[in-house]
Amino acid sequence: MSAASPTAGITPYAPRIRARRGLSVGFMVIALLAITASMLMLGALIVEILVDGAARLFTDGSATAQEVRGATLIDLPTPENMNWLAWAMPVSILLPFLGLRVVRSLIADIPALAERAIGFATTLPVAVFVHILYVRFESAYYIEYAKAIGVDGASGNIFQLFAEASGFQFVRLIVAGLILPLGIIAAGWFWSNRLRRPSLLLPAIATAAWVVYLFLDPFFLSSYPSRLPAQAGLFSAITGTLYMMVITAAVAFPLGVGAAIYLEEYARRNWFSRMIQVNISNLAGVPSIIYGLLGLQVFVRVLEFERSVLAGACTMALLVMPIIIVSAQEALRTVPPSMREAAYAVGATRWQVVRFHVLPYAFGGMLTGNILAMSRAIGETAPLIAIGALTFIAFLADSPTDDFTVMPIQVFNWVTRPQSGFHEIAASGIIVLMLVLLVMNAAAIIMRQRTRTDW
Amino acid sequence: MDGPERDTVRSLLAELWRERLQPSRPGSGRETPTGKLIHGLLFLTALLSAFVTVGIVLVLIFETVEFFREVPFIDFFGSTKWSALFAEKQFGVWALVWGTGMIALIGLAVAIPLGLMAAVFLSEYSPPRVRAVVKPILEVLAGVPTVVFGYFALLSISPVIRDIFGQDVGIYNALSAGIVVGLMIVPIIASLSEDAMRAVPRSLREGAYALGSTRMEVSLRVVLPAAFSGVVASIILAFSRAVGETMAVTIAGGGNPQFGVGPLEAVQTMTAMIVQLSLGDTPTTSIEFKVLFAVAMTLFVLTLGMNFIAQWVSHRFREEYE
Amino acid sequence: MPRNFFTLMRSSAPVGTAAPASNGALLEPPPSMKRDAADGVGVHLDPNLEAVRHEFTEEVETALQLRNVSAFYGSFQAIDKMTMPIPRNRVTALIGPSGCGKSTLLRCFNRMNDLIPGARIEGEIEFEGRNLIDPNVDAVEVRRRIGMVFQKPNPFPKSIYENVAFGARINGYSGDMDRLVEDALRRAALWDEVKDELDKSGLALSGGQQQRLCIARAIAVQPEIILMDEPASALDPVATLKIEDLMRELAEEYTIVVVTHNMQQAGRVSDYTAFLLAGEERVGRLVEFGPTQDIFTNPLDQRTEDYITGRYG
Repeated sequence: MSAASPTAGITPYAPRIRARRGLSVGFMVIALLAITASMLMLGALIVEILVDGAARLFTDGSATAQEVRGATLIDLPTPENMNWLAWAMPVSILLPFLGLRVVRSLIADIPALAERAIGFATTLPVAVFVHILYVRFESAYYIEYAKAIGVDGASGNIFQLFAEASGFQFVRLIVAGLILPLGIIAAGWFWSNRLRRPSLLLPAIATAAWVVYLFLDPFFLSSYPSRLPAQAGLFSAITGTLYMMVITAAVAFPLGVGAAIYLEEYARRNWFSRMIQVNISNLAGVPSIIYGLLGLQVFVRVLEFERSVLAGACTMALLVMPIIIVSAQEALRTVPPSMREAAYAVGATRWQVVRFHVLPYAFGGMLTGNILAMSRAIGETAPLIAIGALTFIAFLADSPTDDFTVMPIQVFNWVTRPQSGFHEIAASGIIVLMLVLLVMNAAAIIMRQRTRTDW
Repeated sequence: MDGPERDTVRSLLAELWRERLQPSRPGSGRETPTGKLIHGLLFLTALLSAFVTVGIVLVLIFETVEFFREVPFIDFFGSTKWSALFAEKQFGVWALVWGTGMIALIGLAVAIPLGLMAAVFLSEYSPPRVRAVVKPILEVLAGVPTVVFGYFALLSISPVIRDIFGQDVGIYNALSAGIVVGLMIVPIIASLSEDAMRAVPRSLREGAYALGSTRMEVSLRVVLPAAFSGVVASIILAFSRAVGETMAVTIAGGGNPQFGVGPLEAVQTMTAMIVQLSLGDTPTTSIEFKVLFAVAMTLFVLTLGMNFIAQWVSHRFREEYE
Repeated sequence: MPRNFFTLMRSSAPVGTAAPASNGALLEPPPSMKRDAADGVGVHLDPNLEAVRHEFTEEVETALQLRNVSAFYGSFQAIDKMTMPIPRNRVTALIGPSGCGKSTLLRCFNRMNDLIPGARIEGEIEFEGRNLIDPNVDAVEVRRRIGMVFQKPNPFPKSIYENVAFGARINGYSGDMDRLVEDALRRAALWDEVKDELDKSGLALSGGQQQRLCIARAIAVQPEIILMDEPASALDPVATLKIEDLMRELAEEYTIVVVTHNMQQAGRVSDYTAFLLAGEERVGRLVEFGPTQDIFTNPLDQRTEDYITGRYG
């Protein structure tokens, strides 16, 4: 039975399996090492940027602020406030968890909907709690602030004090006191929908983000560019980016989605639609700076938008349109033909089929593509430089025809300065930019998973 | 409601249906005036992308022609000296092509091994869970703004290069710019090549395993050749991206448009030159303004050509397995 | 006799040692199976699993000996404790309705299931005195000795020559490559059709030619056993006929195991037939094994008869 095969002795084969096995494993190890090395390199980049830039975002900016504003500001985290925070964190994390635990132990078999409702309801107190906490904290801060600037804070009229404070402080109050709690509620609802579990993770992240936010020095985010690194800020760049993004999205999304609908739902497969398709994929490969020159000639000079937000946004819209078109086409292709046929079969016109049957299903995917396109637009610098966006903007854009700057241009400007102080605030700017991108990408990924439907 | 009344309603309904059932075009459903309007609008949005291309070409051609009226063709393509900002102006585009090419090639030298290894690993070796994590990370990496890479090149890589090659190497050099451009295009090569390799049918791998191949032999001798067209296309696309890359090379490459300098010296790419001229307030009638478009035209033709080659390669050499 | 008793006894028996004499006659068929002097009625090969084995009508060596082979995909059990021999230099057909584990069993023979995450095999497949599903046995070596031809032809996107030479190259073949390629192509009955265009891509051939190319590719590494997973299911009748003729010819030198759902094909090409059937929980089990002639003309199990006469789906 154990006799070797008759041909085994004479075959001129030398499989050397052990050696080949070793080679194969060795190859995997080398590949892993190479990948790890490049990951480490990128990790080093992130660490370096964080080390350089975080200081500017967190260190007590009051000294600088004093110089600039001529007012005495107190340090934000006082021991008293820290006490609040110390027990606010665990409570806000544990409350929704405990809530559902208790209800679950009381009722053995909770219907799915009720479970979601409970998951949602238990996040509500957290949000309220955060709100109350924040208002207390902020009012203490402003009472001190009021004393410092000579206003009678004893009257306790917080709103009067808020009015005294600068505009950005008010924005900050709105964000932290209103939007964050609402965000926690939304996150709770979303999370309990997805996992049918109490919303633990997202409120925790939101709370952590909120605490980080409290420790942030608003100075960097609320100041205008300056000759001196210590006084320079990102405020005009942030608002410029926001402004431009809103217009870009408003222009690019309808145009891109419209083109995608035409190509997928209306166009017959002929030379024209093929030509458009090839053209779109080529446009996606055109260097972004060439779009800048197009924008410079068409929007800035011919249409006389000047070097305005509008010109920048239109250029950016053309730049990201191929991305939006391609992703919208992909989203439309995921809608099964049977769904269109079913709608046609009950007598719908083509537009009705698209409007009421195809679009609602494909919309999530389109939105995802739009977010990704916007995240590309946020990071783009070259085309805006080509159309002549400025780097030193010491005011906020009021109308679409104003001059503007954006975050990456500001970062570029700071990086190319020789003083190392500017390099540090460039890193701070990169942190802000990357955080925005990270949030947008995360939103796109979550949305993609959420809207993925299996037919 | 009965008798003649009902008959009237019936005939009216029949009339209505008959009208409704008239298709405007076979298989297209009936188009109302609103539907036609929407059809037209959607068509225009699709046409816009064609207009963009036409616009780019027209804008570039217009100023390029203006440029060549003042500067002879031979001075642009036949010279290797560039000094657009000096009094004695020379417009030898090869000086810029040299910088562009060197940085892009250094980038490819970094990105091809890393990207292909990552692609082979993800497609052939890694468990699905690892791939599910790494792929989105690659996509996010591909979206990192290029100014960030510029910062990295200037403030992290250049000092290391100076440590290695001596302090007489400038802080601005082609090598550090090339390395970050390489890191920047790794996700393109890795992601597109991985897609191409995953598209190789499973049966092919099984056929190779059944002959007694190791995993590496299957990966390198069967899957990689079978996905060759996709891999080559991804490399060409990455090269095109490296050539068109702007901010990182502007920040880290320096501003030294010279033909024939080495990788440890400052160079200037076509894109960086466009940025440099855009940053200064160049009057629109000046020759500097016009040369910007001539250079952009060169860049456009180069990248467009490469994109076409990539598309051609991936179509022409794609194996059909059905 | 309780079912678990046998299971326990057999699974604990070490590889290569004789099973206890008391049940050895039933549980471990000798390598060469002699015709029993009894009346020709089949004996239960595996009483506790109710598989029946026909008497063999010839003396034949065993190429593979399966003992209690079970296969799992994650928590799903695909086949359950199959025990049977695969006779050397014969064509053995595995038949049964779809989903009965034929292909899974075939893929156990050369460890192809290793490539599927979560798949695992239990039991013992004895090949030249070693248990080839033992993790210490190198799967690459197993696959070189036991080749495989797949359901759909899967030539590499290389030239015809390189397709045949690939296996030999990676396995360090040091002989005359041109002769090897020619020899393999001749044996696969493809040489006359392609000898003038060896540089043409393997994908440019017709389906039937592609499949014969795949057979040539498998032959070129000089395996002892060739596994064929429904090799003709994607082919037209003429090409199918060629493949079947080829199988008959190859059986002179190789042991062939072929999975087929085509009853006539099994009848035409195979010497031995195993009928597999999945129970209610979709676990494939061996029902009947024996010379093809006997299985087709005189099935012992009602279910086999039902299937062969077409009463199963």
